[in-house]
Amino acid sequence: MMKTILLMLVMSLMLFSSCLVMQQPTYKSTFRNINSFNNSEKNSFDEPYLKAHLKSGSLCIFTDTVWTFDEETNLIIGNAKLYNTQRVLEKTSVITMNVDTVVLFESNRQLNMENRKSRLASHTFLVVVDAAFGAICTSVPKACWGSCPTFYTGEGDYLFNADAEGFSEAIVPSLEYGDIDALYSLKPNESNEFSIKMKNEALETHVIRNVKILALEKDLSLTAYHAFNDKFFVTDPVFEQGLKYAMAEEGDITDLLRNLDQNERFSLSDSKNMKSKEEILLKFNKGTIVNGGLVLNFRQTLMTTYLIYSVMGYMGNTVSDFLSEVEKNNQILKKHNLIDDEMGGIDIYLVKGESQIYCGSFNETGPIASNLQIIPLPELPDEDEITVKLVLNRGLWRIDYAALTSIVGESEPIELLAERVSYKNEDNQKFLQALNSETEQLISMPGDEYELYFSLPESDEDFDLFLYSKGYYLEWMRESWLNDKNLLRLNSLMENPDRFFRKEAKRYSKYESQMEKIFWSSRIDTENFSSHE
Amino acid sequence: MLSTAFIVLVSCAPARLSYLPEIDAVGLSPFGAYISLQTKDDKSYNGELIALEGKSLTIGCPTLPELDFVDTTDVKKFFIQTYKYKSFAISNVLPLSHGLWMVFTYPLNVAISSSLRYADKKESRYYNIDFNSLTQYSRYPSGFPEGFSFKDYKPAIVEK
Repeated sequence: MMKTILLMLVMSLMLFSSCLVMQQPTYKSTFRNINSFNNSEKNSFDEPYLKAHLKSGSLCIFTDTVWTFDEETNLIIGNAKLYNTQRVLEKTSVITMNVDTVVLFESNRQLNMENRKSRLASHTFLVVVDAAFGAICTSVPKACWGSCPTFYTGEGDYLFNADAEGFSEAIVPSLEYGDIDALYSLKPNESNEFSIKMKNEALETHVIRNVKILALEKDLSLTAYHAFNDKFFVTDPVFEQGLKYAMAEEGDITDLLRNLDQNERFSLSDSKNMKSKEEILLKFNKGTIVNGGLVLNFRQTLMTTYLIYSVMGYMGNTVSDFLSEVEKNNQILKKHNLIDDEMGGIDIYLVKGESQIYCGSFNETGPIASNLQIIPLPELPDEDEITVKLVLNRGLWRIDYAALTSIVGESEPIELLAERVSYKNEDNQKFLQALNSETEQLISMPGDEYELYFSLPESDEDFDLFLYSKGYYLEWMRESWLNDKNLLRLNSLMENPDRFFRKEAKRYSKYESQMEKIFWSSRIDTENFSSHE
Repeated sequence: MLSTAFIVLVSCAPARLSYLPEIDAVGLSPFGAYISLQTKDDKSYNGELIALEGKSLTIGCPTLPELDFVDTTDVKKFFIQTYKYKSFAISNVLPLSHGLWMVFTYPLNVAISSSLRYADKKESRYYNIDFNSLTQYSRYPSGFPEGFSFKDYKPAIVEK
């Protein structure tokens, strides 16, 4: 693919260089009378369009080449357009014109279009290559857009309907961590059994240490939320207060954040600095809430994914050296997580009069699955209206929903291990053992797909379920990335991140708006494209 | 003079080339070629070439009923353009469907389409041709019609 495009570049540059000779126009001639025009060798032009500039200032253009001149009557006859002095079209018809009314004749022939045709042919080829590449990306979107393992709970296993994506930040072994995602759409059957599908849809190696379910036992009328610090809180939806008003820089965004409908609010990045921050003000009725919590449904835009891909490209053929150094050196490791540290999460402040109290930060990497989480708020002010301020990196977050809820209490989950693992429609004991053991790992390759089966314990209560996945993944280096090696930029990220994010901002903003639009409008079936077996 | 130049810069810049015909209809346009010239005192004039009478070169704003007059002895350099060149702009859009690969394909596409556009643009322009030849690329190659008042000038593009 890249070779083809490079070939196109060379071809077009050759074509381009061949056309830089300065030229004189040769397609037009003027004549004071019709005889000189008729006698001119210019008359041998294949298609001599004739323009007659009249003494009155009007212009008559004989629009085809079959006009005739009658020497006896001194008349020119043909299909023509007649323009007045101001060059406004007056009529189009067969026109008979006496040559005595003409002050100047002008002949024009068709220009040589061979160079134009060559360019159009080159461009058509490029467009076809681009369209084919685009079609591949549309049919296998994760090959072009995504990363990390995806989990599905329902019938549909479309990438854009993924219920969870695991450990997106863990791009090297040292960054391995456990990730928790809510699975509210998961409904066990009558026997209290359920399954989830785990897929590797990208050009990555997934090293999965654990996948288990965290079950929060609670009254049927209550809802459990995962909090940013891996705690769980049970809340009472009866007292939940919907959003009264939301204001961002672009104005009123209340309608975007009022419902859980995937109708999200997001902003474009600052083209001068990727780290630029913005603020959103949320207002809620306090109602009868005593212990308040802010519930947010959110996910990232493609900014982080873009940065990870870019940084790997900048490593070029030193990627394995660099990543092995990361594993050995804690200082580099700290810096390696720098993208996440610099960008930050969605910081939450409770506004109390003139003061603003920091309450915590929502932060979950990944652009695919949304995260419905809670942050407990400190004692609410004695006012009817509660104001919460969000401070977030511009262009990094998509927010779907915000609500003020009433926290009943903290809760501890029950851990459920998988009882069966099915791979290629057959139970696989080895994979089951790997997933349920802290010391073993399941290695998942592109195209792999696993069905994990669980059972809920006997209980009179209801459960809210959360997925816990722990591991890391190794992004496969693409051949074309090797050409993008730029250790200076990589060094800039490590040593002078402020400068890096300012420089990178211009490059990112070129793609951003269209990239987001195309990504989220590509709602099509995802097919696996390879397997390690 | 300064105020005239200012008005031209404000009102007719950038002059629009959209009135020019496509390459295959270059002989059928009732308008003059697009001219862009620079005078010896570094003033720029752009617009439709209306007429060249003696040493007086008349340039019309393609969108407004405004004319500029330049003495040919003051002209430092110029080019005329007689048809629209291709932008090949779709190549700047298609890579957006390449996902994050666009990090690599977008610059390549921009480079290729830019070089094609540059070649097409260069070919559509004629630089510093002699003034005798230039006359025939004006709206009125035989000079202004008798009785023509500059107030009668109507721009090629009539904004609605």
